[in-house]
Amino acid sequence: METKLMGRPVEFLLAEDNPGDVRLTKEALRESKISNNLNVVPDGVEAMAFLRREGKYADAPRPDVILLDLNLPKKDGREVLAEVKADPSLRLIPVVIITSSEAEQDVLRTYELYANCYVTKPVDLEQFIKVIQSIETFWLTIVTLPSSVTSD
Amino acid sequence: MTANPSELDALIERIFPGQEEQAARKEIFGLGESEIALIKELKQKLAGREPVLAESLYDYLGKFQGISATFDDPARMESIRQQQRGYFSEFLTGDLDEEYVRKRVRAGVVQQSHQLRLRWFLGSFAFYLDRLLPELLELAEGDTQRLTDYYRVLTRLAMFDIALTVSAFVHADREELRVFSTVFETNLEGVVIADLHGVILHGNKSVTAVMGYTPQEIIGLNLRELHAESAYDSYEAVLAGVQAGGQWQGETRLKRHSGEEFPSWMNVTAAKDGKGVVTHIIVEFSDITTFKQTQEALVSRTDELARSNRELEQFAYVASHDLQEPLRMVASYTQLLARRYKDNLDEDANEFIHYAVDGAMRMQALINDLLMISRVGTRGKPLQPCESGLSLEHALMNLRLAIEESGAAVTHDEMPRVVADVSQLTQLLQNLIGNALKFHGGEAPRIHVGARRQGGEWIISVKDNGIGISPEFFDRIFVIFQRLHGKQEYPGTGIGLAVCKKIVERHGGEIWVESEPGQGATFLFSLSAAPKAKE
Repeated sequence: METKLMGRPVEFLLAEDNPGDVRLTKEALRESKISNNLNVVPDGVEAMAFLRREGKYADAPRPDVILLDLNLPKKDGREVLAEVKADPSLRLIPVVIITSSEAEQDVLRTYELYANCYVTKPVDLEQFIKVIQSIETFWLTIVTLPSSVTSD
Repeated sequence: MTANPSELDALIERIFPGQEEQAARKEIFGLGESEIALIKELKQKLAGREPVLAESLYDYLGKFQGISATFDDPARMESIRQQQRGYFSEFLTGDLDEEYVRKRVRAGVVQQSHQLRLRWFLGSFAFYLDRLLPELLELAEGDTQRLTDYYRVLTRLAMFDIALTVSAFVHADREELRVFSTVFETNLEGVVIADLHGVILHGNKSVTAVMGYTPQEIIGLNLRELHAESAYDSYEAVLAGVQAGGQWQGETRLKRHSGEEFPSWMNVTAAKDGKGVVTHIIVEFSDITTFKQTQEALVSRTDELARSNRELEQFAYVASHDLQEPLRMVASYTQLLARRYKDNLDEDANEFIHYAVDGAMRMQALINDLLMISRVGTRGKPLQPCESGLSLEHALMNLRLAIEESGAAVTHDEMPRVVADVSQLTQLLQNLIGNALKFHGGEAPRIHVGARRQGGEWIISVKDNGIGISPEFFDRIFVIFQRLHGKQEYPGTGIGLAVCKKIVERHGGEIWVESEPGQGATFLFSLSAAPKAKE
């Protein structure tokens, strides 16, 4: 299974406006066992442009996993999630919602938008690395399913 | 007004004629020693006849419709019959002493208190004298002079007797009126008596005080003129209703003599005569300006309080939420530093990093606690009937690991149905049982969750055999971030009981603790009982 993945790097799309978190994610992925490519957009509007390959993102790769921060400028994570889940061509991409607190997840759930996964940003670096790695594992699980997103 | 016996006695003493007055009365009615001697003689001769005479009286009175209707209560009828019999039996006692006078006064007061009519009393007296006449004729044995003497002394005695009883009756009546009129005059509410057209006949002291008119000025005004213009229409409608015999109560606006308007609570009633015909209009009112102001102030204060409370909760929520971000940066990058440059750092540097990260983590724990407590208010679900047993079950499930590790024995009563937010009730029980597990002494924890009914509430208790709490700390333990023990001894931020308190207060209940150091502790809280579940 892993050998199959080794063919090309895993494409992550990280929608995150905090450079500190971007850097941390990069650092965490750098320690990753699997080859990956981290694409970063700073707000919700650009996230959608990336996903729809609009403007400067015309040649953007289709991400295998979307890491979505909730508090994004211009268009927040909630709206991005709604648009992704409403778009038949994007719907199957797993979305991991990254929140600053568990309380935020409650808010999101009240909108009845179902993300594939919720992750709370931990204070502890070790934990953060584990989280990112668990996202990879999570993604590995996804690609073993018959309705693989890569078969698009 | 049917008075009780002690009130009647007091009234009798108040109106009882003194020695001089009694002597004066006897003189006026010409009852000297010779007359009294004659009455005694009559009494002896008539001995045995009085009961018969008195009894026939009752039959006589029974013939009148109005009277028999009044006596429709058999017990009351019998009591009046006895009194009447007694009254006339004593008529010829002769001495006319103080005791005799008192009995006459009592008769008048009692009759008034029974609301009997004077004409019934006078009528029965006339009948009694009627029936006595043939007896006197017989006793005189044809002696005209003696018959005249008998007749004279009996008439005088009857007059004396009637005057005493009637005067007591009237006095009692007036006393009742005096009490009523005092009530009327000194009523804190304004009371106005008006004729059918609303023309004021009388106003009590409060009316003049509140409305600003003198007692003379108020008489002759129309009730309408006491109202503010904006209330004219509603007044006309009320007047029409009351003229037809109705009653009205409500809020209206009145206008003082000075032209100043004020809100008033008013009660308008029709006064009817014996036949049910409306004769007067009675208006009671009070100035509710202060009440309204207080009420409005209270409403706005309550709104303000609720708003500021909401804001505060929102603030705590947002603040604690946003505080997480920079905190995470501090902690993560300090750790990244340690990770990346591990080999280039000495012992001191690693220790410094340890304290920096530890501080950041503790701060995160505090922030999470703040979030949790603010969520009790902002994220609570509606309170509804639920099984507290289910909450307990969930709480114990969540604590399974801690229970197993400590070897605790947890028992509980049959758990009641209460009105609660079921997930908050779970959290509440979990925090209390969690504390009981945490603060155990040397032995394995023994915890009992009890429930007892108290009025409309259930008192739920969590009792442990742990280290206990000294009474001086009972209040402090419920305050956020208050800890009684060092972090090394018992870890934690000191949020658990503060959350418990907040949850219980949101449910409208109370939480408290009973404990002695070393004797274990019992935490108790109250929740509204829920109606039994329908099968």
